[in-house]
Amino acid sequence: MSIAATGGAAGPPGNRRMTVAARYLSAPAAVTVAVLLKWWLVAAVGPLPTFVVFYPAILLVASIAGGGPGVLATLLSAIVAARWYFPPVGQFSGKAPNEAVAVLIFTVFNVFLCILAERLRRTRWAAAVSAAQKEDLALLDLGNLLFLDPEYRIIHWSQGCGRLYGYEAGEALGRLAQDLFQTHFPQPLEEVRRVRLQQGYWEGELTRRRKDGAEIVVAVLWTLRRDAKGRPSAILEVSNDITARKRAEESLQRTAAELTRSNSDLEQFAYVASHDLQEPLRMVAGFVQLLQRQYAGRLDADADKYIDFTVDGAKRMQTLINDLLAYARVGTRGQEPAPTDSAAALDRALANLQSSIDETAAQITRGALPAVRADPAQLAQLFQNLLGNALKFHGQSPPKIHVDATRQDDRWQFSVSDNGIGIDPQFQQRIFLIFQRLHTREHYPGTGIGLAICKKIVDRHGGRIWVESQAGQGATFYFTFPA
Amino acid sequence: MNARPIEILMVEDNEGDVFLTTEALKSAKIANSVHVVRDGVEALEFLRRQGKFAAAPRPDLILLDLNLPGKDGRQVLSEIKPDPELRAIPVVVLTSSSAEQDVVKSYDLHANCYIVKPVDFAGLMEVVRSIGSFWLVVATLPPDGRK
Repeated sequence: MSIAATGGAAGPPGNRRMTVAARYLSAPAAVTVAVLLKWWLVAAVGPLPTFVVFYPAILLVASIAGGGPGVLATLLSAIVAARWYFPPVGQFSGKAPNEAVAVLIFTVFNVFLCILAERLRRTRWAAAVSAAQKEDLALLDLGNLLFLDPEYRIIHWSQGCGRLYGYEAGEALGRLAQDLFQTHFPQPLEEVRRVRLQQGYWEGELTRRRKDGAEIVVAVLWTLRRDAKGRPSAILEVSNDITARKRAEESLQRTAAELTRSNSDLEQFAYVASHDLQEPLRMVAGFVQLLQRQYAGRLDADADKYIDFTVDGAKRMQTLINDLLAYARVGTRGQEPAPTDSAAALDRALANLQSSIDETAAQITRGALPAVRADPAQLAQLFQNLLGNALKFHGQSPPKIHVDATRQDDRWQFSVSDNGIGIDPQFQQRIFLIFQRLHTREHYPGTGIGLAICKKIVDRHGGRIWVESQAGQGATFYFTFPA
Repeated sequence: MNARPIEILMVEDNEGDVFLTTEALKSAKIANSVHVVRDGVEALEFLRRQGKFAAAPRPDLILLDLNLPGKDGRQVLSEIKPDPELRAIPVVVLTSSSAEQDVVKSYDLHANCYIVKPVDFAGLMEVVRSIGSFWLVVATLPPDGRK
């Protein structure tokens, strides 16, 4: 098995700490120090052999900076020694045979020393790299690594695979991978082979069986190792168990499908409600009224009252059905939120409420209103319902309503405050529920759908709606919208 | 005004609705002759004077319910409106449905008008009176519907 070392040094150890220039500069530096040392030693203790100080300098350079700098130091030393230390000083001619032989011997011996030093360094480095490589391989073996021969026979079984699939190396080695795992491939094996040969790798999701029979999904990467002649010699497989993620994805898809179905159920319900439920109501109301018309004078006052109640009940039922429909449509008929000018939405709401505004002589003021991410029609409806409430539940004096917005981090908080009859704190949760009313129909007409629709609109936009109020002291409705 | 009677074809499967609408037409004093068919197939046979409707008059106005047994109101519209013989006859969709998709679909199929039946009789009378006064009095229709 052969895997290139992924960690460890990229070259001899010296290279990591020293640049090439620094390594070679160390040679003249060492020779200079040696010359100075010799000059000082001669002055202190008297004459010394010519080359004595250069041997340690060259050895030092060769062992620390490498063979190349060592050879450079050798040559520099030879030149310096020849020029300054052979008598007469500065007159080195190279013609005197003993001089030339001495320099030559010195040079050859030191070059030889440098080669030895370099080989020693390389051996030490190789040993260090191979130790690092072994450590890396041991670490890699904890992962789900697998080697297959070109026929998919398992030729290396890592510890990680043992843990993932439950087989010992002895049970797995030599087996065909697809047999051992009862693999289900996303595409024909021949196709996998084609891609693998073409690209040099193949990746995909495989369904496999563990030894205990459990089915797991793994994401595998197959890379191809080729021999010296370029023929595929092995497949390296790295795999990840993605079973949990896969299951989560599937459950998400199921939930989404269910949601779509329940949404279309709701659509269907809304349609049925808007048509089929209305017909019997029309029959009840229509015929009772027809009865009243055709038998006028032949029925007494009580009968007329019963007929009124019947018609009123049928009409109310129709209103309830339509309100329920409007409530359902917030979810099913809404548009995707887009940047929307809330001031324009408020204008639309005010235009729709114009007659009640005139009737109640209401004063409506506003602060600066921002752009928010919203379904424009629903934002307008939200304003319309809140303002409509403020107009409806006014006290003795004409309604005064103020609409404002403040920025809170990534969202806007809107407020609609009025001077109306207010809401007792104990009822402040209930008012947002569908068909919940706090007053009799005689005092304030309505089915109690308005604030439920407001809540559904705000919920749909990921915001929050609440009210702050005391009975008799006006109310402020707050809602938040993403900016 | 026309000397001949005004012919109205009512396509409606609900007997109660037929009765109420006929009553409303009567009390609004607009229709001299109301023909009732119960489903889409009958409506088209009536218009094309097929089978038992061989002697049927050409209606001046069609009141069409949408949800009918068998061939429904939408299919009736989609057969009348491309038909050069029939498309000039005004079709008023008169239905219980207030569903947006029905409104949109009906106008897409070239309905002349879409009306949701009011729940109470007084409302229905009002609507029927409006239909009569608009389509049979205010609006000028092609003579006999044909060129």
